[in-house]
Amino acid sequence: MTNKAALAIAGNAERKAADRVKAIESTEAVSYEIADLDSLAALVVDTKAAASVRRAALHQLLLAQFANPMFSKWRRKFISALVKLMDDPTPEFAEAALGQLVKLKVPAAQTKLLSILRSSDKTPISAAKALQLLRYDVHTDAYPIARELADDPAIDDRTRQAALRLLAADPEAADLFEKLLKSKEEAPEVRRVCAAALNNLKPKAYQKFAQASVLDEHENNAVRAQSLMALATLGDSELLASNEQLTDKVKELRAGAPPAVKKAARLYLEKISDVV
Amino acid sequence: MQVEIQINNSPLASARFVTWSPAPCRVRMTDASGATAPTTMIDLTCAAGSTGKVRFSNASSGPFANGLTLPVPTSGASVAFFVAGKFGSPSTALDDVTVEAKSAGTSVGSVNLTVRIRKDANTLTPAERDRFLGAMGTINNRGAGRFVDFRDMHDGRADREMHAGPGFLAWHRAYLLDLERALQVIDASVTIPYWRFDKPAPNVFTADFMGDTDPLGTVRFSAGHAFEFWTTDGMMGIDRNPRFNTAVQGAGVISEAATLALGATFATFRQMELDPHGSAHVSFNGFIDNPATAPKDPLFFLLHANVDRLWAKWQRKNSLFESTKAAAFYVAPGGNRIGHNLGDTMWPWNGVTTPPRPTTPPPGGGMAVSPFLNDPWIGPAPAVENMFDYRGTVAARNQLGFDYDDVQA
Repeated sequence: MTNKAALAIAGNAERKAADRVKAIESTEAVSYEIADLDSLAALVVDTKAAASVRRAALHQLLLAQFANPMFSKWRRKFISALVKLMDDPTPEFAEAALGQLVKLKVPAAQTKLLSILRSSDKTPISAAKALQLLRYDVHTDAYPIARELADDPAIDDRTRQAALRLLAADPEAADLFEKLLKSKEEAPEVRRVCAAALNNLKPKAYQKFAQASVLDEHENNAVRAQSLMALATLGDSELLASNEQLTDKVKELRAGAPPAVKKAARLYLEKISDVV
Repeated sequence: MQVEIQINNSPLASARFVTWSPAPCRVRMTDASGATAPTTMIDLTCAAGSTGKVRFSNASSGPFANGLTLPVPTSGASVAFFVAGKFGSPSTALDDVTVEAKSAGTSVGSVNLTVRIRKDANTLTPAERDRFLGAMGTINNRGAGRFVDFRDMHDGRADREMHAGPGFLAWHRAYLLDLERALQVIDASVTIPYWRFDKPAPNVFTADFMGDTDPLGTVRFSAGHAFEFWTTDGMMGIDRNPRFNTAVQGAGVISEAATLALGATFATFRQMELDPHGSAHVSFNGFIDNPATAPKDPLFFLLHANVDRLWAKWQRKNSLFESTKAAAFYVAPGGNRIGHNLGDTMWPWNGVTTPPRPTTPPPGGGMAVSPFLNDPWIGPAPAVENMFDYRGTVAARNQLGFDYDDVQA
């Protein structure tokens, strides 16, 4: 069956959803013409069509991005369809649209995501998801709300971590990350996110923390393993090799520590042995 | 008595890497003490205890054997021979193969080398896995390392150079090799492993390797993992949510057998760009499901290593290493668009940043830092056609210096 014939079946609202899906899946994305792409886009945004039909149509469009020679010419229409889709009443499609739009750095997606974060109404995607997607093209207007959410003691862990990950791009947030990283009251998962963020924003401050955490007998093992790995892969070998107290401690850890710490200790010692 | 053995005809440690293809070598006497004739018979073997294995021949074609005996002049003149990795016995660590030279049972020289092969990511040893991860983590360097170039080479602005055209496979072969050589500057033992996407790969999608995923689609790594600091475009972390059960399913792609059966000509085989290649990409929701963001996820390179491996297998199956054979490539009536003809040099390595090529500057500011371009087989501006004879089957000088664990020579 040709793409045209299959898409005619897919576009026929009288047909059963299963038949329409089968027709869509039988098409060859690599040989779509512009008219075929238009047909698929129309199906994706058709709120009266079954979710399975819309999902199948969207899947074919995502595939076509990778292999269809007409797609780059057609991309603007794809973006228009996605912009329409981001207000879809079905959360699955709103989220899918926003997920693609942020990758294409479409400003409308940023605006929509910020409005979701600021809204007290029911939203198509969670605050955590909105924060995650805002990272793709982070603008400074996202930082205040991310900071508010990160500071909110009532917020769930997932949203808080998503807020912190977004703030990892904000140079003003370095002190916050340092504070949270140093606090042993924070969950290790949170501290590890903060470690990565601090390493991005203020690498020297992080390296200093990492060295101290290796020497700290009361440090959490996951944080310690992360610190050792950071020193082993990203640290200044010569500087580290000259720190005898640190080297002695790492040797101790290599001999007797939980597996993740031991492994990182071994890598650390291999790294500095190239220098010594 | 002492002899010197050179692999790839070089005394340098950096030359001591072989694949399944014959590598030119030489042996010469450096100390002839004890020699009683103008030539001495020297026995070359792979020493016991070598993990990787090589085989020997005095010619580049014909049968290879577990050992070779050569008459070596006491004058110091070199004698040529060839080694090739023994199929099925790649190295698992740097220099784990010892080629030993003996005269009348006495050792007179040896050299260590590595049979360096791309492997199935699901079956790597923990040490191999960690070396790959360590090298990738280092080249990323929390977003400040040279990985920026590899991310920038594959974004939306250059999409037409690399997708939806006959040059797709050649471009990505060059891209992978460029990254691999850059990783080998960090750790010479490393190769890019492949994700065999048509089969379950439970060892790949774990917190110790390419990460598992939380309900939000954020990839999680174990404590001390080399990717804990992974950053691209100023954005920390990796987003990837599988649309299949990674523990027990392959991605939603056609099988390897079906891929290889797409056709005996490139014109039909190249449909694989859609499926399995495109299908593998969109089997996740995250960075990897859009060409503009796909290489932000390091899984991209394992995915493409498998795409390249499938091309390599297809080439072998159909004996199509010669780019000029009609079945080996596809030319549309009127020619292909730029970047997709055999003789076209490939952006970004050609340094061309004027239309109709992408106008973004070549990464690295002129590609001077790319070790890939210093390979004798690649040259300063590789063309599409340079990517076909990767094993030197047509001409030894064409070798690109990589191979796959399950694609026989």
